Amino acid sequence: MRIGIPRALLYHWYGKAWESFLLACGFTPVVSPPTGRRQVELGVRAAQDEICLPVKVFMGHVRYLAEVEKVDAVFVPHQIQVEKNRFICPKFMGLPDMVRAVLPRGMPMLLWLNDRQRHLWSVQAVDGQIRRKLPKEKIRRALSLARQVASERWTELAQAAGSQNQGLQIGVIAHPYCLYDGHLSMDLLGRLRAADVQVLTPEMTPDRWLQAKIPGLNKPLFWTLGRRIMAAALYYAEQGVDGVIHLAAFGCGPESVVGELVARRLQEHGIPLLGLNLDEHTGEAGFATRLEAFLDLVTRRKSCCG
Amino acid sequence: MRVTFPQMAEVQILLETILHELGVETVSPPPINGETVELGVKYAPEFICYPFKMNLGNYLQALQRGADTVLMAGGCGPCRFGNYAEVQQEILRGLGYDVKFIILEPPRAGAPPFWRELLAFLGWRRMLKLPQALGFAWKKLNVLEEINRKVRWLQPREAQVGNALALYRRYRRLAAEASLVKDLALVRESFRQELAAVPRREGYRPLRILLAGEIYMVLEPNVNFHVEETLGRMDVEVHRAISISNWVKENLLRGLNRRAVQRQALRAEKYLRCFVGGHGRETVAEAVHAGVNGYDGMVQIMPFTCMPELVAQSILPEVGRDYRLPVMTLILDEHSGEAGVCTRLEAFVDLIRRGREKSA
Repeated sequence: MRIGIPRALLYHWYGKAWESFLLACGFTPVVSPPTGRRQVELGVRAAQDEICLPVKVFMGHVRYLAEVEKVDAVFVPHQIQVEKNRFICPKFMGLPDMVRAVLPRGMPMLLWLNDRQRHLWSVQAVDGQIRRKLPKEKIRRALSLARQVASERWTELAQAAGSQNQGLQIGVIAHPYCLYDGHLSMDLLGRLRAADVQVLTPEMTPDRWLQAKIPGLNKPLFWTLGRRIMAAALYYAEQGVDGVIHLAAFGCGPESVVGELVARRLQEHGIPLLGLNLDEHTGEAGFATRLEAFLDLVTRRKSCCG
Repeated sequence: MRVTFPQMAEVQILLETILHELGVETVSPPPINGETVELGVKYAPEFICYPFKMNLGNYLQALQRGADTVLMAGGCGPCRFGNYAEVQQEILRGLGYDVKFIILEPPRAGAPPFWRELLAFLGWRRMLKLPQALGFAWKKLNVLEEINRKVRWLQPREAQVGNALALYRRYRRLAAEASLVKDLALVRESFRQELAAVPRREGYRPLRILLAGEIYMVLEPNVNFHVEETLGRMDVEVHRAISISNWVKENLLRGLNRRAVQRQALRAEKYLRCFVGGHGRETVAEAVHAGVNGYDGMVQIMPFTCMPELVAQSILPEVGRDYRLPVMTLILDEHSGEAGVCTRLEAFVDLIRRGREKSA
């Protein structure tokens, strides 16, 4: 049975693990190719106009898998909570039901449900259709393999990227599905590396920063990704980065709140911040120009003020 | 201490009632107007949802009028509303206002829960008077909502246009001003009598449209371009399940209303399997309710970039297809214009009316 995995949203964290899980269960995982114009177009046509770009792109990948790859079922991660008492975003909670609206009638979905009771790599997270068919022991083994792959992926993400020289150090804050999707982020990481910049990403933030209280707020943020971004920004400030780039998708809800909180804290630290908003109309030239101007500015600032 | 709070339909009347009963001085922001929008949009983050911007505008106008404390609710997600107060506080402090925020947080949020905050704000003497004040405010709310509900029923049926709205304005003010339970009962009684005396078109069956969506946008007439009145003028009977009292029942008194909450979830279950924050699931449940009960149409209202309602919006076409229920979504923000909204509503109503005439 060929199961399509859309290369979007949290695929960029957990995707490799899902692949090896399905493989170990005896299915044939089919991952959609990296996002391109094709998927964006399909997604924009299928999804509601006002929804955020990453969700549109997800729908595009789903349609691609259904129409081009002609898979037998689509794997849809339904991740309400991947850590205790934090949500990802309401759109993740409604994802399977939104996907149903764009899938051809009768195409089955395989869910991967994480919520308060069903932890990330627990047997309960696996769709009932798989659990009923396979022996529990086999699923357990596949899950432990998946967990291992996931932790490898995590180490890979947490390793410092780019040159280690004494050049510029720039922190990037963004959701993983914006940052690691080369098409959406206009290859921001590649561009920074090409400019010989040392890049910090939210995934490189040490765990203790994620647990720390955020100064000025009297309760922790209730979004997993927003909290990571907040913690990352504070960590970058502590590290004394030369500048921070905030990559956000147009219409992203949590980002509008977290972005404001981050901007205020970075301003207190006197760190330059470039806010880049992505949508399906973003042009590459405008993006590159803004990035270049920002890097020039930060470089000059560093050489002038030491 | 001069306390202010955001504007939202009957909330202002309620909070004024409660705080005056307790002897706390209040400074109400003026009704939402052009200046509120301008101030809110200027200082709020660009992509935040519209209610946040309006709240911020309300505070700024109230602060100019001498308020020094803001009373606001918190939350624990996943909707952005849970973070409103904290971000608004930072923005106001950044603007140089020395303002104290009293944020009423649910116990799960990870901050001091609302009773501790209330105690620090009111002190024991006033705290003891609180249940009585809340009881009175609750009665007042019920009268206010009854007035609204019955006027919405009357408006499309009245023989002479304008009677219903005049009645509504007058009795809403009377109810708001009532300071004794006795007065409130009198207001209710005389409202009922006057309502019954308004001449009606006999035998007229108006279109029934259900209003649902994000609670702030649905309830606050000054941001939704008085959608209830506008639809009423088009001879449409407007229903809505969303109201302040229902919100209180479903959220604050959840334990007493388990059944109702479960029923909502069950109604939506075929289309939306889990809670999505805000009123997303309720909107889908309302659509199913409208479909099953043969409403002529449904209007969903939400602010731009509202996350839970966007999920609902993606699903509503499916519900509409299954029940042959026309659904229209109005997404509003500071760029919406009254003429545009009215035209769209008119077109929607015409469409439904034509459909009904055809099938009749």
